[in-house]
Amino acid sequence: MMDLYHLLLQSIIIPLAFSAAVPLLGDEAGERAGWIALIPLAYSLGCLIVPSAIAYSFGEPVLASYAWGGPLGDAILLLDGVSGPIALTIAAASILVCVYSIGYMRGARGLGSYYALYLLFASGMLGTVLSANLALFFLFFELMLVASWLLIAVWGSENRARASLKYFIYTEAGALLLLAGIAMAFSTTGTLSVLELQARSAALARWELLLIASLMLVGLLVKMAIFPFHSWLPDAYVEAPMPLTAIFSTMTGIGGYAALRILYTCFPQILGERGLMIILSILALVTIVYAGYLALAQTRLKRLLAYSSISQMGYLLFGLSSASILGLAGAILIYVAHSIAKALLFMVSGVFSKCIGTDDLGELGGIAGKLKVASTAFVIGFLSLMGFPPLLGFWGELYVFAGSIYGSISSSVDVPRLIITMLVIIFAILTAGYGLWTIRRSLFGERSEMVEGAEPEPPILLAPIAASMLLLIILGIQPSLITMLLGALS
Amino acid sequence: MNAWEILAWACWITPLIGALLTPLLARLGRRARDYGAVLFSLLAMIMTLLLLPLLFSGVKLPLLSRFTWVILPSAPILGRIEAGLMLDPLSVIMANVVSIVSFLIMLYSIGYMRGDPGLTRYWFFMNFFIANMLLLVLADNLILMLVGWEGVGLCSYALIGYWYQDSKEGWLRYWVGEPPEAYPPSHCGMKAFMVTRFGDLLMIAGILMIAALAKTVSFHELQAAGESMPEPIKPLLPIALILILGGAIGKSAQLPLMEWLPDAMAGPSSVSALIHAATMVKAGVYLVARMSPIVLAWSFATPSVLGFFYAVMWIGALTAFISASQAVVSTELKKVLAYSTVSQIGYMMMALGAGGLAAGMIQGYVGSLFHLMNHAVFKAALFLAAGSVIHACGSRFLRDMGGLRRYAPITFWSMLLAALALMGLPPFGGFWSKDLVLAATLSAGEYAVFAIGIATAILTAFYSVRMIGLVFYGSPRSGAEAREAPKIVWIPYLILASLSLVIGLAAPLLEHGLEEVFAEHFSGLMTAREAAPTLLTPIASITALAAGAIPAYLLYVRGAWGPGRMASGGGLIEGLRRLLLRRYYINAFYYRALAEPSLRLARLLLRGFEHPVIEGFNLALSAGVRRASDLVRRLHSGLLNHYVIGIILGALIIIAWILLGGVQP
Repeated sequence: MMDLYHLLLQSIIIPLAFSAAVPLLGDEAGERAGWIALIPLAYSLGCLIVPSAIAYSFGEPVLASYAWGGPLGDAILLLDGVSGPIALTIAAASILVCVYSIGYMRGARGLGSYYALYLLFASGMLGTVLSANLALFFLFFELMLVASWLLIAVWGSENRARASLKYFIYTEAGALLLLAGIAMAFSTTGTLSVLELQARSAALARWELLLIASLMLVGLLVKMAIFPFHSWLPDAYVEAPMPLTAIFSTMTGIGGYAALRILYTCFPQILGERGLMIILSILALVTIVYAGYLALAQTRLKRLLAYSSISQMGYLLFGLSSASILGLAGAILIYVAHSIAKALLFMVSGVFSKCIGTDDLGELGGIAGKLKVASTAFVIGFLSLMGFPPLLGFWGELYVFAGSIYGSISSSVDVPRLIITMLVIIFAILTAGYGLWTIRRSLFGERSEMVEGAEPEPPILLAPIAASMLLLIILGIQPSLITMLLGALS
Repeated sequence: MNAWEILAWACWITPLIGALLTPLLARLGRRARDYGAVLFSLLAMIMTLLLLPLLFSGVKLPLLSRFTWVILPSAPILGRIEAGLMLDPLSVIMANVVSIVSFLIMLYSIGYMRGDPGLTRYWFFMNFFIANMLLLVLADNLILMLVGWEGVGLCSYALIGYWYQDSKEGWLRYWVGEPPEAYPPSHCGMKAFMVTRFGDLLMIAGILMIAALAKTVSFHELQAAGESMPEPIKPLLPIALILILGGAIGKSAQLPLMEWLPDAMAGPSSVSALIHAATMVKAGVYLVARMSPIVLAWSFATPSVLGFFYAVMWIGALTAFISASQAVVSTELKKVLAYSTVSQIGYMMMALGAGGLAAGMIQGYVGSLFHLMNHAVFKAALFLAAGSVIHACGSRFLRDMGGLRRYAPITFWSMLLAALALMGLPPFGGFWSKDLVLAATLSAGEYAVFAIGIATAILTAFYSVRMIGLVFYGSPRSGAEAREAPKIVWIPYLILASLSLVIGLAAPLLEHGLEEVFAEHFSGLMTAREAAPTLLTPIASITALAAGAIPAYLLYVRGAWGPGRMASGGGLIEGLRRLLLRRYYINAFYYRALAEPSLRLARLLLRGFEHPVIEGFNLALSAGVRRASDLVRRLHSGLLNHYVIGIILGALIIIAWILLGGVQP
């Protein structure tokens, strides 16, 4: 179905245009720049809801195509069962975190530029997800990187210079591998359109296909911070300003989304490569376990949450390695659930740092009766990560596990796959482990003096936290809002 | 939707609304909140009671009320998950047990918890618990049941750690265990959640395997799904069932996942009564009972699934014995009851397993459920009374109690009645159900299990009498002014204790009624027992009772042979006592071999791999690049001579290359 009112285009362009306009207000604009930045973000969300509703009710993807000139093909924007939920999540998370920024960044320098870059980042994410032309996709992919790099480099904490450089170099190296894959796909098939690739890639030789897919996948695994390419993430997360950290998980997951697109839409033959899928599932297992253990070893809340993000990306990867619609659905649900839950957790961790003055788990304790809303949200966020029903994270894990189990025992028994799946399920206890232990160390126990003297929670920080909590609950009770969109798969 | 269906949904929704309204009612004042919360549990009880006539109304059961919940287009399994409730004898009976006991405990809470600062949280989680528990037993498919299942786990976690500040001064009342195994409440909550969650993960794996094999997760469709399964994947069925059993043994605190329950006693006594004695810990038994007919139906095509019943029976039997032996030496009142709970649930599991292996099944099935009902009643009474005892003495330790008989006569009589029911003295309810449980093992021909059951009965009688003796006889050992509890506190446990006697008196009728209902419901699958009742089991169980009770009476009630002498009774007895006190070192094993090494491994990975290897690679890479650039930089000397030499050398190489034919014109 064509996008008659250019809604998809608008959802990307409007934040981009505002991004250019916001700095004109000057840095004295301060907090007001944040409220203004909310306008295009809200508009984007509105623009995305309409085509999503169409896709939902007609079971058909929504498509917009613009002649671009040159050899790269038309600029195609696509909203279907995969990109729809993800774009909506990005738009919603951007709004929540923008509101949070207004409260959290109050008094920081250069807020006009901050919100300009923030909008640039948001539109980069939306563009990456909605693009169905690999060149356009790459353009937005890089835009996202540059904007977030600058945000860390300027507004980050102490070690921002080192962390931002590391972040840039790591993910740029990944991006270059991705570019190599895209270039090779272009030279062998002659098209960059995601939709045409599906038909044309059938003519590729097996080794070409594997090479292209591997280049792209490795590039994207770096973005997802899959073991052993994860080391940029903890530093970048910890040094970034808290609002950016809160939305970082949304970005990291886009690597997973792109991998889904490439495997399931562009080169579906790859799904039949059992060896590759097993390798991906092993990488996922290692990431889940390794990052889960490292999360257990952390003493700072922010760093702990960063390692937890790596571990959650493992689940996303595991979902897509199952090569079935169940795993695909699970991966998308994990993406949405993790983006919201992690945004929530980081926002709460920001509240702790603001109100108590530290996020060192050794100095926290007994917060539960003190900061009540933040504490409740904190528990809900971790429960969703643990896959606790009926929160959204439960459905993600359920379908990811279901996809893999179904893949290993539906007609005959695939023993290695079954063993890997069982290990992934059993090691899911690690999420409960670090989650509950973190809750215990921060919310329960005897109150430290710092906690006793905590300031009250500022409402502007609580509003986005409460909204994320409600999203996790409502979408968890009604996950069909997301899964039904998968009927509109291109 | 007919009236029954509306009623079924209302059962679940009423306490849920109650939970959600609690914070709002709290704004109206303390009384509105407290009585409001109890009112909703009363309404829930009325709704479930109204469901009872359904069993005798002649409506064809199971009665289903379903609507589509989750849709995943074109998915091979779980593409359409229904949210549905199922009314059949099992679910209706379970729902009634849950709601009746819940209401009485809620009533008790008004008095027992009065003045506690966190009561809004308390009432919220209590009602939320009742809602989830009712959802668990009424759900018509495994996924929806899982929602209730995890929900009760969350409430259990929140309520065990209710006094989350872990106050060190209040350790006599709020902590659990003796050093080195003394834990604060928030630790116990976390432990309970972790252990049960581990079982739940296994169960989720099992559910998904069942979904993949049988292509359905709804209970009433599963039964018929056994025949259509393809041959090569059939061997996976027993594995899937054992995985599901993992969830059941986690929740019901059976071997080897039982260590969380004794420590769950850190919660308020009302919570221990409701969640950790009467209802939630029975969820595992309920699940096994729910799966039993399905497994039995599958066993015709796939006999290997009968392994499920073997596992259930043996796990139950071993747990029953091991846990009962720990209750014999426990130094804390609530922990005696906790071990006893684990042990009695072991009986229920044992009966279900034996029932599945016996020809008829119905005997074990009914025995297990009847025991479940009895146990819910008498154990709730015991816990509630224990709460009032602990309150009176200001300590959870038995050594601080004693002589309470004179100060708290109602509590004494209630606890005595309930303890007699626990011991299985005729004509209390416990006698009849234990008789059925033991008879089921005989029908299955499992004599070893029968023997374990009898041995457990001896221990049960012993620790019950010991508990009564230490609490109510002898001279008072605490300085605190012990007094009888207020009316609103003792009425609920007096009702429950009397109920255990009433059930016992009506037992022959009840038992018969249950058998008939289930035999009709499972007609074709199970048959009522035909063998004539033997006298062996009642004689054996009464003998066991005497064998356990008489020494305990002499020791602890008459005090003829003081506990002091027992302790100095020699190395062997002292060693045994230590072994039992330290829970056979199973608990210690979990800490030493799982929890602590995990943390050590985590730190090792951080210090031994993440920092040196991963980050070391980054540093080495950047150092390498810098060194390479240093090398290259040296060529840029800035001296014109060097550059001219470079140009000439370069030109020479190109000329040489052309001359040697490197470039074709």
